[in-house]
This record gives sequence, C-alpha cells and structure tokens, in this order.
Amino acid sequence: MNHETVTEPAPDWAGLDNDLLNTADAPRMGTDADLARFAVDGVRPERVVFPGSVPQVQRVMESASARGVAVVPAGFGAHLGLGAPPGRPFLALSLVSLNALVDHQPANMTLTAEAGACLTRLQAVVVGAGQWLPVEPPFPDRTSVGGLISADLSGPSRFSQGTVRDLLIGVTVVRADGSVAKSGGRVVKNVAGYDLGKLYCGALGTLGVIVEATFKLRTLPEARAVVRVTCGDMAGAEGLLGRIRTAPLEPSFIELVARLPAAGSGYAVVVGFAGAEEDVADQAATLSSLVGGDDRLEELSEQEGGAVVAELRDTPALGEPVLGLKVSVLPARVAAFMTALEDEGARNGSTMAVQAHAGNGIIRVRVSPPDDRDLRGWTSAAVDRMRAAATGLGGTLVVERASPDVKPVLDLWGGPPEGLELMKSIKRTLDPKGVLSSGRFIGGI
Amino acid sequence: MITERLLRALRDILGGDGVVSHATELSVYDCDGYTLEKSTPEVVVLPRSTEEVAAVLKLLKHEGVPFVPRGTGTGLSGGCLPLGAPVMVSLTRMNRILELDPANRRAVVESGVVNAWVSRAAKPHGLHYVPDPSSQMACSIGGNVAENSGGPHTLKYGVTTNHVLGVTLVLPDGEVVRLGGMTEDTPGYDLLGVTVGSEGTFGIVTEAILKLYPRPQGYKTLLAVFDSVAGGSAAVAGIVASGIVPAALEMLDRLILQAVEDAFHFGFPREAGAVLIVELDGLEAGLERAAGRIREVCESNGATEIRVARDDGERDALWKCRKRAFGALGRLAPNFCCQDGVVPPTRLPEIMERIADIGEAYDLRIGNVFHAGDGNIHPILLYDERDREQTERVVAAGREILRECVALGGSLTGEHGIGVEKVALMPLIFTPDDMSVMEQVRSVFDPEDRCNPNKIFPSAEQHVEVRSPRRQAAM
Repeated sequence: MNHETVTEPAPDWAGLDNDLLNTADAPRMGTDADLARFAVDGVRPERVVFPGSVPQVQRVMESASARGVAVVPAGFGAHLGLGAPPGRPFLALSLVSLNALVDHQPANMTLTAEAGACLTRLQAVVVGAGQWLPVEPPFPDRTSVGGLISADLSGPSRFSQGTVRDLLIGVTVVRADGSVAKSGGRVVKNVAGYDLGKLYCGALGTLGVIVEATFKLRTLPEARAVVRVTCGDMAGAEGLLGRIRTAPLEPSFIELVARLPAAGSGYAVVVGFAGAEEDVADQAATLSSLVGGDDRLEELSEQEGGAVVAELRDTPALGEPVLGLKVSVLPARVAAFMTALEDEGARNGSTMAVQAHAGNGIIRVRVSPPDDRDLRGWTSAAVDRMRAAATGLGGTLVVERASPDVKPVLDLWGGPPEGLELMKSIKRTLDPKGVLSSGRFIGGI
Repeated sequence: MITERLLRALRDILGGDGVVSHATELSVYDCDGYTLEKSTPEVVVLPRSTEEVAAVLKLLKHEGVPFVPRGTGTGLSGGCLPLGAPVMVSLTRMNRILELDPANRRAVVESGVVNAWVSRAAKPHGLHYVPDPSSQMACSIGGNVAENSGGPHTLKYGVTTNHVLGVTLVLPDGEVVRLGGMTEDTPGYDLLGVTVGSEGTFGIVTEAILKLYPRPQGYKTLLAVFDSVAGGSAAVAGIVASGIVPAALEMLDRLILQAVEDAFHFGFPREAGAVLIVELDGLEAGLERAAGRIREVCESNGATEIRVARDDGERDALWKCRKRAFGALGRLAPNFCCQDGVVPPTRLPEIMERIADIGEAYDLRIGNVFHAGDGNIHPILLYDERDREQTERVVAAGREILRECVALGGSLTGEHGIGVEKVALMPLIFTPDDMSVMEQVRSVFDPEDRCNPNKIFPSAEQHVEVRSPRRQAAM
C-alpha cells in the first residue's frame, strides 16, 4: 500500500456531475471535442461546462468548491496559453453561452455585456452608433469580454486609448464560493467603493469568474491614416522615434517592427493617426518631414493600413509553436533593448520577429530557435539572458507563450514582484480553497 | 489613548517640530473641505520621508494605535476626518518633485506635492499633468491618489487612476512596498489600481510615479449662454452624442454665475439661467470645424449667446472663475455643502429638475457648478451652521439628491469619495456581498483596521456612531 501524504482531498467528480446534471436547470456539458479545445498547454480538462446564466455559474462554483474540483474559467479558449498550466485536474468553465449584450447606451458612451460575448460581435453592434470599444486583442473573433479582461489583452492603439484597465468601469464576478459580487457601475465617472475591476484585469481568472462587465466607449474617428517608414537599421529607427516623440503629433499608435537578424527589410516604424480629417492629413504631412534621407516612407491605403493593423494585432498566430515574450521597458529604452536583442540573436542563432508598442515601451518578441537540439536548455538560457537585458534596463520580461514541453522549465514571470505577499494574501482571502485557476499565475498563485 | 511615552517616541523619530500636540494647533486639523462634521486628532505628525512614515507606522503598530493620513485637507467627503484614529499623519512636508523624465513623460513626486506644481515643473518641457481638480492650487498628489480625483479636463483624458503608474505605499505595519513602477504592465495583480481611490484605507502613499502628456497644440474655449438649466443640460447631451469629446464640458447655473460674477467680474451674463464652458483641445487643424459643430449643437438647443475666448488670457480668466467658484460662495451663505453625484449624461435634465424640487421641499438654496460631460453633478447646498435645524435639512436633502442619482442609473460619488459623508448610502448601490469582497481586500492591506478606520463601509457605523452634524462650531 502506498503511504504518500495526501495534501488535499481528491476531487469528487461524480459528486460534481450529480450536482450539475440532476437539476431542473442544468448547464450544458461539453463534448470530447470541447475537451480538446479547452486544453491548457496540452492538458485536457476533465469536464467542460457551458453555463448559460449567472445562477448556473454560481451552481458550478458552489459545487466545485464543495467537491474539491479545480476550475479554469475560459471564454473561447483562444488565450489559455498565457500563464502556467494548472497543477491538477480541472474543469473548464466556458462563459461563451453567457453572451448577451446587456445594455448599449450610445448617448452615454457605455456598453454592458455578459462575459462570454464575442468582441467582434460587440464591435459590430456599437459601430452602428459610430462607436468602438478601443481595444485590439489578437483574434477578436475568438476573444470574449471575460477573456479580454482576464488576459489583459491590448494592441497598438493602447498608446492613445489605454488598456482594458482604463476602459472597464464596472464588473460582476461569481466568487469561488458561488456568491456574486460587483464593483463599479455603469457611469463613466465613479469612485464609490474600491475599484476591484483593476484586480481582475490580467488576473487569469484567479480571483473570480467574470460574468458581466461595463466599458467606456469611444467615438470612431472620422479619418485614419497609417504610415510605414522603413529604416535601414535600428539607429535610423531610433532617431525617427525620437523625432516623432517631440513633434506636434498625436499618433493613435507607434509601432516598431523588425525581423532579426535584420536582413534587407531592416526596421519599420508604423504610425497610425486617427481623428478629424484635417488633423490626420496634417499629421501625415508632418511625419513625412521627419523622415531621414535613407528611410523609405509609404502612406498606406485604407485597405493596406487595415491589413497591417490586423497583422500587428494578431501576431503571434494562435497555435504557432514559438516562444512568445513580452518585455516592458521605458519608451526611451526600446532601442537599447533592441540592440541587446540583436546581440542575443547573433549569439544564439535564432530568428526573431519583434514588434514594439514603441510609445509604451512594450516589446513583443517571437523567437524561433535554430534547431530542436536540447530545446529546453536552449530556451531556458535564452530567456534568462533576454530577461537580464530587460531588467538591466529597469524593465520586466514575461513569457507569454511557449511550447508545452518547454514551458515547465521556464520562469514565466521573472523574480518575485514587489507586493507578492499582498498578492498571495488577496488570492488566499478571495479564494481560500484555491479553486480558481490555481497555480496559473505569478508566484504560484 | 495618546500617552506621554508615545509622544516622546514620536518626537524621537520626527524631532520636536514634527509632532503637533497643542490643542489650539490641532484645531486646524478638525475637518477637511467637508465641514458638516468635525473631529480633532490627539496628535498630528509631520514626517519628511518614507523612512520616517515607516518608522511612525511601525511604532503605531507596536502600540496598537489607529491613524489617519492627511494631505492638504481639501477633500470633500471627510476622508481624512479622524474617527477613532487619534494620530493624524500629515504629508505636507513631503513636498519634493523627485524626478522629471521628459523623454519618457514621467514625474516622480512625493505625496505632499501640490497638484499644480507638477504641471508647472513640466511646462518647460512642453508637458503637463492632466488631472486638474478645482482645488489644484492647494490639493496634494497623495490626496488625489487616495480619492482618485477628477477635474474638468478628465472628461477627455481620464481621472487620476489613468495617470498614475506607481506608488510607494507604507503599509499599516510599517512595511514599504512599491506598486506599479516606471514601466507599464508590471507583472502580477494590479495592486496599484485598487490602491488608487482606496481613500487612504490601505496605508500611506508617500511617493507617486505620474504620467505626463504633451500640452495640447491649441485650445478652443467657448462659453454658451442658456435661459435655463434644462436648455444647458439638453445641449450637454447633444454634445456628448455628437461624437466630439471636448477636453472639458462644464455647467454653472444662475445662482453660481451671479456669485462668481460678483466676486471676479468676468463678464458673465447675470440674468442667464445657465452657462456651459466647452473646451476643445488638440491639434490646431481640426479645432475650428469642431468648434463650429459645438456651436451648432448649442444653438439648436436654445443657446442665446456664444462667446469664444480670444486668447490664452481670456481662457485662463474663464478657468480661474470656474475653479474658484467655491471661493465665491462665501458671498451667499456662511457655509456650503458640495455634493458629488453621478448620472448618465442623458439624465442630466431630469436630475436638475429633481434637485430644484428637493431644494424647494427642504427650503434650501442649491446652486450647481459641475462636470456636465461625464454626468458628474455638484449641487451646492447653502446653509448657516449656526442654524442646527437648517443644517440637518442640508444633510437630508443631500442624501435625497444622491438617492435620485442612483435611481437614474448613476452613482454616489464621481470624484470626492465616500469618506464619512456617504457611508450610510453605500447599500443603495452595493449588496452586502459586494461590500464584503471590498472589506476582505481591505483586510489584506490593513488586517487590524487601524488605517483610516470607520470610512467607506457602513459596517464602520457600528463602531463609531456617525451622526450628522457630528459637532457644531461655536454658536
């Protein structure tokens, strides 16, 4: 007989099935195909459940809490690659059946939707009122409201529009014990009570199951322009970025795109403008005056511009087996980090696709290793070196994506952040049994 | 609760000039801008550094003494009123701008730095700090962080929480943590985000990292005159719906207009029912046409006159009048209570009507000067605190106005905070379960409930009876 210590009671899956199915208002259970779809880093959930109402979500959480079952909240499952895989068998709780557009108030510029609502669908509704929710998550057609918040997804326009934390004005969650709690409200300015919405942003579902959210909307711009400037080298791009920073411009985004090692194509600075027609035309003209002699400027057609923005938004492609990193440094240090990347690429022989939200200091790197010899050791060492470069510049590096066989040996988040004990304490307080996405977040949270 | 021994220990940390314990000096600290309730601390300490704050809080932890942080005391919800907190920690001597980084558009400041100083320091670099509460010449950044303060220009650019990248927080046990940072997207829970607006209940913020923005290339500032508040409110709804986002969209009603005009002689039409101040900013090229559209919306909603500021001098004068409106109210009554509700902008005409009705029902004079574009109303209830019965009517009428805001889909506070003032109203918008999560989060930061106790949550009322008015000034 085996005498290993049992730290937690075994999950009672039969009890859970009984709780969920033997009831008049049973949530829909997933099929085998769903088990594959909601796998996290290759690990399939034991069950997938699709509650269609808040009471159904509550019942799932009550039962999971009581039965010792771990829960990973999800939307469409497109962004589950973020974070560590759950350390134990789990139930995937997909919110996609809880997907109503609850309240769009065009004149008050607010939108309330259930967590499973698809971003593309919501944008299609609000565009009818000349508005948009100014976020650009990768693959919006497979991104839910809850996923947008939990994964803290952002795109190029974060430079002018901020991120989810700046747009979320109210949120309702079902807690680990099944109770419902909201914070914020439906008005754009509101300081009543703590702003708990901020805590749920980027928390990978570790603190509560988001069931409804309210956002500020913005007016769609009258005109847009996208300008691409191709520079021979990083020094040329750095000079241009510096001139853009001090020029009388209000870009909607400033992206720096490169492939390393930098062959012919070099570095591209892609700048977006949006707003009144006169402003957009003026700014595009101003930008062209900033371009250096060796640089090549292209003003893209609306169609080309849209395609470029979509490409910037959607990289890396889902399911692509690459190492995906997010680095954050001060905006003026993006160039210094790029130089460090060039050195790293020359050293390790990989190819890298780099895309920076240059105005924010956020750099995304996709690394394709030279070959698959000792992939684990190679990746781990490369991540350590690139992280050292980022922290040396006062920044951070997070591994956003890695193939499942490599991920377990990687330090996804870097050293413990300031306040980690507070973070752990918040997790313990709000989810004392560790039911929600446990082990998926920083510091083992 | 404060012993001689504790006073000596505080003096050991801060020096003799860092500890105020004389009754006459303490009376200065008996309220903030919310004057309906007063309570004097037993001792005020004036630390000069994060280390001194940490040392004080370690001592208070050891002694089990509650405390309350205070900036410059311009708050409007009694957020820094000492209720069951004998020690007040005033941050006014921590007033240095530590770093200005124009290339990255960051400023690092101590929390006692006055809001307006940041923009003044950033101006030579063509930058400014956007949130601009009306009290910006006096209010501190630490107070702004605590209350998540707004201001007229937050309509387009967002409130304090959208402009703070990091804080240094001294926890109630004296531990120092740095939340957020100079860079974006710091890994982990957004503890910074939940600390901003926590009304000084998580600890004491001693430093903040602020985002700076380029100063707009141009401004277009319009003054639109209406016969009635209803006309002005309809124009606000029209402007919001037009898709143009003004930098600021402010309304003043007749009562306020007249007081401001008498005080500052700007040239407001004294007979008008209401005026709107509409400010557009941004690149020069598009401003003229946008101003034309604003003009059309105002005219189609019955504006009788529209003036445009001719130059920066006129624009500055106009904003001075708006931001000093509270100062002009002394002409109307010895005291005033500034309320802070929110409604969806489309409901402004209704809430204005209801406020007028409430004023009539309670026999009170109520003026309105507020951030119309985001539906953040500031009814100003005039009274004389020597008239106890009238003072009680002010409290009752204020609460009724907030109830109406909630009934119209709004909130209890847009930028002043719950403080002590609105504790009893929290159940209007939050269930016990909602508040329980918030209190649990609070307990993570302040497990012993010693940091600014008896604020925000109605359970606090069980510990200290909050009566209104708490204590009257001498009759």
